[in-house]
Amino acid sequence: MTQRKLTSEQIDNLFELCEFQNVFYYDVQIELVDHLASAIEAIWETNPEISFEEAVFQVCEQFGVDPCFNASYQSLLPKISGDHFKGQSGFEAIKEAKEKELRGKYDRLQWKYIGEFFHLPKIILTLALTFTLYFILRLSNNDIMVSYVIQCFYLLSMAVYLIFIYPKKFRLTIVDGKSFLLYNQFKNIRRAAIGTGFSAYNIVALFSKFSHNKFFSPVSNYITLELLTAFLITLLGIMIFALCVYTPQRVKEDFTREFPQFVKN
Amino acid sequence: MYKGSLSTIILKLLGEKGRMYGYQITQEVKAISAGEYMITEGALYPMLHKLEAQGMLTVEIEMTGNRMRKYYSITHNGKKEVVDRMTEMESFIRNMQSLLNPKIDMA
Repeated sequence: MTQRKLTSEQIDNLFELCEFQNVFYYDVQIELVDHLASAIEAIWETNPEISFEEAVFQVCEQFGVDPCFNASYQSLLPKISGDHFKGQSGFEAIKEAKEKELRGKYDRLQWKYIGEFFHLPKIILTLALTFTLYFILRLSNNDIMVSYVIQCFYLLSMAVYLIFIYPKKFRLTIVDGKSFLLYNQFKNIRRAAIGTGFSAYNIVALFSKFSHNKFFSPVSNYITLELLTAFLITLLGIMIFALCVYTPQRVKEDFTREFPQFVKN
Repeated sequence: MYKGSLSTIILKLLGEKGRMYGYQITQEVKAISAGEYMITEGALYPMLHKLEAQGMLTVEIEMTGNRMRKYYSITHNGKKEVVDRMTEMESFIRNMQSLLNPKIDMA
């Protein structure tokens, strides 16, 4: 006797079940649907007469998921107690855990990359940038115009990059327009880049104000303040580069490696 | 259960069996332990995703029949980790045994 398998319609039904449980990302759905389908087929192996609906019900119970969104499952409702599916569904917990892991993964990669700028050979670049900026600040003799030009250049280039370049550089055309949790990282990173960019601007602007403030100038050492400002601008530049260029590039590489069949060329 | 044993079980299993998918892992653990241990889906998938994010596992997605399946394989880092964890677990078991069944020196 041939083993009873799920039809394509039944598979679609399981994808619907995931969406009903607030799992909209296709990369998370694929795994859950395969698990449910494998478990249903295992039930059919021992009891081939059982209906698809009842098999779904049994499998969902293990996951702590309520399958009763579908009218055909309603007949099974009296079989369960009222408290059975209260609270967060098992699917949602899996999705949230995956979201957290992905965020953590790219955060770790980003900080590791930033750390490289404080070890050989990249530290040479960090020092070179810091001292170049320091000499610009020195030579300009704390000219407020130079400070404004640097700040305007910084803000403008950030805005141009994030609005026009970033979306094109890290755009992938996805088959069927499906939504992927991994792909969503591009949006999260851009949001984080805007946040970091503006807080970076505020810190730099604050330091430049300090250097022009008469109250601070007699007590603060100009050399230290300028060197600190130069280092801070360099550090923030590295952080923004990691966030805007390095990390999204890694996401793009991971996505094309993991889901090549979903990327349109 | 000993802390970290779920991830050790997953890594060890993948190291021995090659690539596996989620449901297969739950069934394999059940079979090996003769039904003694059951890995719940709610614990398995977050752990697989964690190990994947840590670079211990790598994934591939393939069509199987009319659906897609995500396979997990152990990476080089994962293999190194499993050796460390097995050593750690063996020493934990040894220490527990000597604590719970101390040999009485009659001399």
